[in-house]
Amino acid sequence: MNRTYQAVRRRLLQLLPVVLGIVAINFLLLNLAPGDLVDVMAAEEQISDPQVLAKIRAEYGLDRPLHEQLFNYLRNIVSLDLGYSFRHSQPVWDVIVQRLPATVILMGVSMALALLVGVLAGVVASLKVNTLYDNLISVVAIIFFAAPSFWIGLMMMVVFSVKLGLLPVSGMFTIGADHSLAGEVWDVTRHLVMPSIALGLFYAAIYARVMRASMLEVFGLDFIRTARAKGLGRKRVAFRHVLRNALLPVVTLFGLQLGTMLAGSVVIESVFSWPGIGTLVFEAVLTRNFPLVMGVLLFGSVLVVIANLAVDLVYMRLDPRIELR
Amino acid sequence: MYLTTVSKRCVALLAASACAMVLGTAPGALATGPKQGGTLVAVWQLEPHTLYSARGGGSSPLIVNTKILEKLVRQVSIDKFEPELAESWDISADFKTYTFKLRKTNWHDGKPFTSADVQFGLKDVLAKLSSNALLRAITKVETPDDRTAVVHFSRPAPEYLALASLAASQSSIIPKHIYAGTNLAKNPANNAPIGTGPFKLKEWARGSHVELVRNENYWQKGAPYLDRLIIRYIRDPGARAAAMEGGEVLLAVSNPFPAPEIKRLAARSELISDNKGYETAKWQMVMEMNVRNPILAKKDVRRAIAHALDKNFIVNTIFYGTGNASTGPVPKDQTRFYSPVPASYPYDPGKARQLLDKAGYPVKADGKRFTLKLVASPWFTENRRTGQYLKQVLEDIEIGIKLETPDRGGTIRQIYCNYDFDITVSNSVAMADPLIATTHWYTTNGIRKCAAFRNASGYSNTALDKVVNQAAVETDPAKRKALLARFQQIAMEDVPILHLVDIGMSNVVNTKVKNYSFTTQWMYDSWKDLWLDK
Repeated sequence: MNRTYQAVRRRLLQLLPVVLGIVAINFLLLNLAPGDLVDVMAAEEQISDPQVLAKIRAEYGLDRPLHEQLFNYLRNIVSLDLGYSFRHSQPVWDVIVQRLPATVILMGVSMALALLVGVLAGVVASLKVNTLYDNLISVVAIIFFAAPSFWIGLMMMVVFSVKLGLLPVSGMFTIGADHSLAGEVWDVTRHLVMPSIALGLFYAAIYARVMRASMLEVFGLDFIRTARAKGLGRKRVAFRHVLRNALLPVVTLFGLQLGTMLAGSVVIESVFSWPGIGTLVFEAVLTRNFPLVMGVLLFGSVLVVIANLAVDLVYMRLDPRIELR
Repeated sequence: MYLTTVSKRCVALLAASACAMVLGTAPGALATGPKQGGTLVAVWQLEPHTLYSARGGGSSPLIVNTKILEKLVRQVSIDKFEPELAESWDISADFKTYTFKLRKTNWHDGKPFTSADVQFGLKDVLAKLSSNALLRAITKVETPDDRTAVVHFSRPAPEYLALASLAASQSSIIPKHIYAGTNLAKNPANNAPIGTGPFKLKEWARGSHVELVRNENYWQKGAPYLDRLIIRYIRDPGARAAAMEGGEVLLAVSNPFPAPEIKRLAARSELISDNKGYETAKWQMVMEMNVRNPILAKKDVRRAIAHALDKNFIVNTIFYGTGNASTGPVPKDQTRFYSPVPASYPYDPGKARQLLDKAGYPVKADGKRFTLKLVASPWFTENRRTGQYLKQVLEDIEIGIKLETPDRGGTIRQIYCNYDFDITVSNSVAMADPLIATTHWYTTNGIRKCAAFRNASGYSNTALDKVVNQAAVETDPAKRKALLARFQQIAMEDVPILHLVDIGMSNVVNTKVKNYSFTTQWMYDSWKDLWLDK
């Protein structure tokens, strides 16, 4: 266990150079895009005086050579300063933190839903392989995987909100309603149903396919035959021996997707007006608001590194032969 | 004084008649009068980054802050202005001095509104930051007492131009006690504006909506009618339509849905669509031609290009029949300054070919006369489709076209900074007076590198410059109209910019909403006259 602890510590220390490297690459890539924040602002705000433009660029530090801008940015990052979003008249940190809870709730619920539904469907399909159940699950999985999630979102909206009036159309809260805490939780839950299903089922479809294939593969391995030969029951073999081993690929996928979680889902957030980070970043890229884009990417890269570590720890738990190095 | 200022009663009458027209209700039904109270939820597509920007900041901040902040005057129709923060005004004989008598009212934080605020707003904000040359010509604002502001211009300010400029959506007066001595771009009040207007900001739930509540101490007794006004942000047009159908939002302005969708929604019994309220802010689709290119420097080449395309096809096919084929820099329904088409370019590819042959550009061995770079901007989806159409029709007259469609930031840089284009598809807005935002697309001093939506074509003509300079200071309305007619004539003869479409604008409104869309830039009106029939 001590070795594990040391490995975790080493991984966390590696975080700093990895993240700084990611930041530097992001910075250079973003600056390859033509136009900058001031171009966009000048157009929106009808600034016609080139001197004013030069002044704004100087104020935002955009007149400095690129390497100097990068150096300044990295220096600020090390002192945990993410910079200032001039478009929001707010520090980048504040802008991100305002949007973070909505994204975490939506992505958390969708991922949990995806994992639960996906694994369950995969297990059922593999246990009843080549039966009606299996085919049905495969068909449904393919539909949700292939259909664009914005379309599924809009169709749910038309059916459940416009026609049946069961669920709110979009947003995260009922605007203007004053609720107690319990009322608010219920309100958010109702708003969460459609976006989390539209987003979650897409991932669930992937997990179901991977889980089914993985289960079938493990079923064919020698140790399962041994387990059966020992006289273990069908259920016990399936859940204690097969499931645990078959989970590894799903955990890998889940870990990868966990890393992208912070970026939110631009599509689902747009369709359901969910006040999350996805649309914020999308808009920031279009307006060349790079401090904000960089801030979110930084958050994301930290999360990826941590998620990878967490996945490795879960591996160890699932398969004791795997060791953390 | 040739303009009339309307009394409050007139406004109410005007509103009632507009309302009766729109709804088709018998006047008797209106006898009950407007109802007090209620919450109106309006929908808007893009959340602003900040609620107030001293430079204007585009439609997303303006649609919110115009409910909170006020201007000196309010424009209610093409020819009529009414008092807002100013109760009345006097103009000196030389039109260089405007004296405003101010209203007694308070800011939302309880501090009194005084002439010092007007001085700050005009001299320290608008005169410094506005793109409107007239407002930049404000030299000083005197404040003999709290209720009087005397505005001095460096040159004669024609009355209509002055009032239209002060009534423009970007000309709101902001509180001096909050902004003086601070960095205007970073002031926290930009995200929580404090104004004198009929609505106060209650909350801005980022990513979701802005909630405004009734200002109980508003200077106009009884106004506003609404208790709460909520502006909700829904980015996806399909989701906006669903919210409208589900009754979650009651009002959507400024072409909120694609044209076929508007027709579908308007067929529902509880929804109506109309296209009023945009008379002094008409969007146009324009094609700029870069005269820095020696080929396009030839007038006949530009005219040939104008003959090669069918504006009605663009209107009927790309805009689904909404809007009108444009006739020039002043849209036809801006009756005050519109001058009947002096030079028009009917669709005639044969003539286009003839002109190009004559200009010295015959078809070469490769089947082309020459090749141009066409940059289609992305801010309206129709722009890119029009870019594709233009590619086809220009290739029909043997002009090779390289179509480029960069994203927003890239387009602005390419067209307005680097002038890296031969022809464009972009957009302009025709405001109440052509001197506000139209003439600088043509004048020599309109050429400012990196200043977007001005003269990017590089066109320079001293005759046109002279006419515009005269119109800027001519105080006789009839003479001024003649000068602006001459401006339109030169602009159309030389055609450095071809206006393609006067874009039609629609609102979609729930029948519960009454008394909307009666001012000429209604989207940016304070909406104090709006009421809900429950």
